[in-house]
Amino acid sequence: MQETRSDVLQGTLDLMVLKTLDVMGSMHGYALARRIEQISEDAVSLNQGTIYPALLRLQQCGWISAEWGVSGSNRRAKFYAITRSGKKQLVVETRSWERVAETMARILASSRPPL
Amino acid sequence: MNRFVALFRTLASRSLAIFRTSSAERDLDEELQTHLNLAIEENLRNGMTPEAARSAALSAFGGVTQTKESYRTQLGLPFLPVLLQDLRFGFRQLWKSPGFALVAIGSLALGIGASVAVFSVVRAVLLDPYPYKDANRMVHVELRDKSTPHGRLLPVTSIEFKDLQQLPAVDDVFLMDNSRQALTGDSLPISVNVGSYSANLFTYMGVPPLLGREFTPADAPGGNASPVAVLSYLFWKKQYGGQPSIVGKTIELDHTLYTVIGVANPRFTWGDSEVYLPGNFKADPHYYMLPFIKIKPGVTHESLIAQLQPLVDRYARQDPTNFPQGMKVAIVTLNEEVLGNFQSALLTLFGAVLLLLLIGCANVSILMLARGVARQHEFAVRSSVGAGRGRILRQLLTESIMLSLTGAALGVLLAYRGVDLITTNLPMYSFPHEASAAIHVNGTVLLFAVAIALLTGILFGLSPAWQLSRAEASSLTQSNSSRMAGSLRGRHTHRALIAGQVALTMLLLASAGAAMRAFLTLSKTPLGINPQNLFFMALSLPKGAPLTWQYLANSQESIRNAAESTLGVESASVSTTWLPPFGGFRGKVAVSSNPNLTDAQADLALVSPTIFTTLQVPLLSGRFFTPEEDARAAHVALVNRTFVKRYFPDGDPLGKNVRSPALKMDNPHLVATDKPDDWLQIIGVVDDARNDGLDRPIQPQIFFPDSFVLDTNTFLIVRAKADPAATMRAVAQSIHRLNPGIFVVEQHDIGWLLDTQGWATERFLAAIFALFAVLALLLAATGIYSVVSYTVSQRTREFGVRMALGAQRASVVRLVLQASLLTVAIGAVIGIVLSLSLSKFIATSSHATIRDPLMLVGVSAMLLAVTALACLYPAWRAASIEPMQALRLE
Repeated sequence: MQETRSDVLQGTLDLMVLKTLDVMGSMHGYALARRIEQISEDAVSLNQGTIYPALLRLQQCGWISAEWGVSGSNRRAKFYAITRSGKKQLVVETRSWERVAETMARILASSRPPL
Repeated sequence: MNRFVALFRTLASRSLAIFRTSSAERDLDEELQTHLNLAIEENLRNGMTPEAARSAALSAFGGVTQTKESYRTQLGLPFLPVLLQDLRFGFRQLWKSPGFALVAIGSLALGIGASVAVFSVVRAVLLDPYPYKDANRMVHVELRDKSTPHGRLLPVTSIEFKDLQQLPAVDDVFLMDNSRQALTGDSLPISVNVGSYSANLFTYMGVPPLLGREFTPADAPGGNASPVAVLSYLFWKKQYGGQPSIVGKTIELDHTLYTVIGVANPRFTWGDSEVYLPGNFKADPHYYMLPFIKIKPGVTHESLIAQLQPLVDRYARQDPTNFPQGMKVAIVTLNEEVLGNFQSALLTLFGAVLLLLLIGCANVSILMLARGVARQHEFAVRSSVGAGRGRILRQLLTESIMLSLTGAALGVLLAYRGVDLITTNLPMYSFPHEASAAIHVNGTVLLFAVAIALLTGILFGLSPAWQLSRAEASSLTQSNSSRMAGSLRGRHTHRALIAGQVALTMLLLASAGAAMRAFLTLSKTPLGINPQNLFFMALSLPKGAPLTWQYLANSQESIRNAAESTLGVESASVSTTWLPPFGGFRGKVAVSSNPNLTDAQADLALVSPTIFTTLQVPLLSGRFFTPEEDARAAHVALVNRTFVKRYFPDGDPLGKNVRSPALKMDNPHLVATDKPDDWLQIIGVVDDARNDGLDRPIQPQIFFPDSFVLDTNTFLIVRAKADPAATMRAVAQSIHRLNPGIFVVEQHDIGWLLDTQGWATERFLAAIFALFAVLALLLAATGIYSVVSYTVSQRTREFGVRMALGAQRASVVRLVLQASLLTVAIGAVIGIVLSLSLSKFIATSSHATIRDPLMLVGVSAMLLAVTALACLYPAWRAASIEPMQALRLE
């Protein structure tokens, strides 16, 4: 079943960007968007453009930093990297996300208690 | 924790980003371009054609414009660019209709400015004018009887003062003795208002001094090395230029040295004393001073009266010649004493000003409603091209707030100027002077008035949006409804607002009319004398003058003579107790031909024979007494017409005898001729002249030769040929040449006296009410004009059709006028009804009432004339429209 293009929640996009930058190191916007698409095995087809306001937001919070550089094909691009406070935020967000998933799993697996 | 840091950083970043918007956008453009190029490259690598690569890249990206928009929103403070755009647009709209903007701003500014100014004054003067501790427990003791309903303050001697201190109802009491003394020193002596007080004055009052210290019972004279003095704030500023160095120096009053120990608080103006001295009160059973009592907490006025009345009766028995007889004790609060009628006048004024504020707000509402109706077409169009209701509302709100804030800001400025203006013009003797220093713009009131104005402006500014939500946007754009007369509900609101505004304006006009009548009545009161070029002078002989009758009589006459022989003087006379139009000395009289008259009273005037010439009072029969008769204090007298009417109803008074036991005074400071209370022969009758103030009827009056009772003061009334001011100076010089030790205690133009004590209050009220009424009229006129104009401009097409179908211009004019004038007439009638029913509350003076049919007709005519003019111009314009033009107009 193909996932329709859906609006990805802001918060989850932030988490995905942070995790990707944490794992992959410094990347530019296009590479970041493509990487997220690949890792999620195309289950997430976001409008690639939505990544840019998200990157700005993360910059404003101080969780990533940006620097102009040169891409592989010799084009000028902005490279983003996770900061120390970003790493801290990643830990926090991951933990809360896992908690939510755990709770949901329990609820969905529950059956009627025996009389 | 991280979250908070992040939030703060976000805010900071977004605020700073405002300044780098353009470079940030350029960066984003470049970044997005790179993104697309990289995507196209990858697509090409995967084997797509250039066109497919490009379109795949774009569709994978999503909307570029939308991305930029979201980015921009994320970048800066989101509301700012929108706000700026709204502001610019709003400003342009207002600039395009300057008339509307000016009137709206002006209306708000006037309403706010006037109401805040008046309320500030009223609050300072009425609500809490006194800085004295427990001022609400301070009272004035008045003695009243049938002939003195306004009462006079209770006088006591220094011995009787001790009785007061011991009354159970009394918490504290101090004595006041006023005198005018000469401040001698390096320059010419000047006359100073000196107050001698019992030493507990400042502990009673509880107001700390501005500089130095105040005197205490320890400073009581007698035993102290050097007597001390405290200066009043105003006197300190006027005489010593506000220099703190005066504290500790000595000053000389009537050749006695005093050390200045302090300067009183600016709001401490008790008795208007310029110098406060701890009094050296001798135990004199005939020397009276004024006591001021502070009652104990919880004690009623009635119980104080009950305790005072027996004392007053006893004093009357002990000193029948000097102490007022047969009087009842009454207690009044400080404010009642000082303000009297002015209190209700001030409250009425405040009501008037609230009306003005209401009218101002109503005007703004009308203007905005009318404008809203006219702009409905514009908003319908905007909404149909996609402007959300919120967006339109926001833009309207911005416009209204801009208008309201400007109006409010101007109003604040006006308020400050207004307070200054009112304070300088307040009638001098009608309000407690302690309040002068405290009259300033009150912060809370300002905020309140601004809030009301803003609310009005905003509420009615948003009205077009409400109206828009009711009608279908499409139908409005299609059917040229901008030329239709607007919704019925809108018209009703307009009419109601205009009627209301006219009614309130009518109320103000009627009040102004009444106030002006009062002033005119008072100022036109026949005085009985000719006040032109007339002035009075109070002179004091130097200390050490012999207190013999002969010396004083000669001295008085030579002073009068010196004055009369001065260049520029037409006539000079002594008038010891009577200063027209006010009364002086009232006492019991007896008439020989009517021994049954037991409680006859008359004003007893001690005058020179020339007084009637000086004042230009006509002689009705008989003759004046001669200078020779005056010199020997002959027992002859004149009476006025009222005296004859009352005590000689059917006979001729000439040749009959009168006498007054009141002239026999047991007072060591006064020197009387032999048997001053003996029978005198009436030798003449003069016409009536005011002798009991401007608003009370003329009292019966007897005129005695001034040599009957003398003291070291001489009171002159002088008629100058021209230029009273210069003549006053010349007379002072002549008297100085006669005897340099004589000093002028006080001198004033009679005109000045009448202005400040006769009708100052009435004039002030008339002026201010008239001002408000005129303002209200202007506001109402502009409101009506605007509404009629807008109505006309909307119905242009309709009029065009009518005229094309054959209607006369006159009938078009009539159409326009009918509706508006009907509304105005209804408003006027409501206004008159309101005025009549509220007439008791609006009464500012006892001299005129609102229920004056002539006056009401007059102001109604003025109102209708002005409003008719306001309607006429737009109506005439409607009639001058060319039908073809009107039909083409969209």
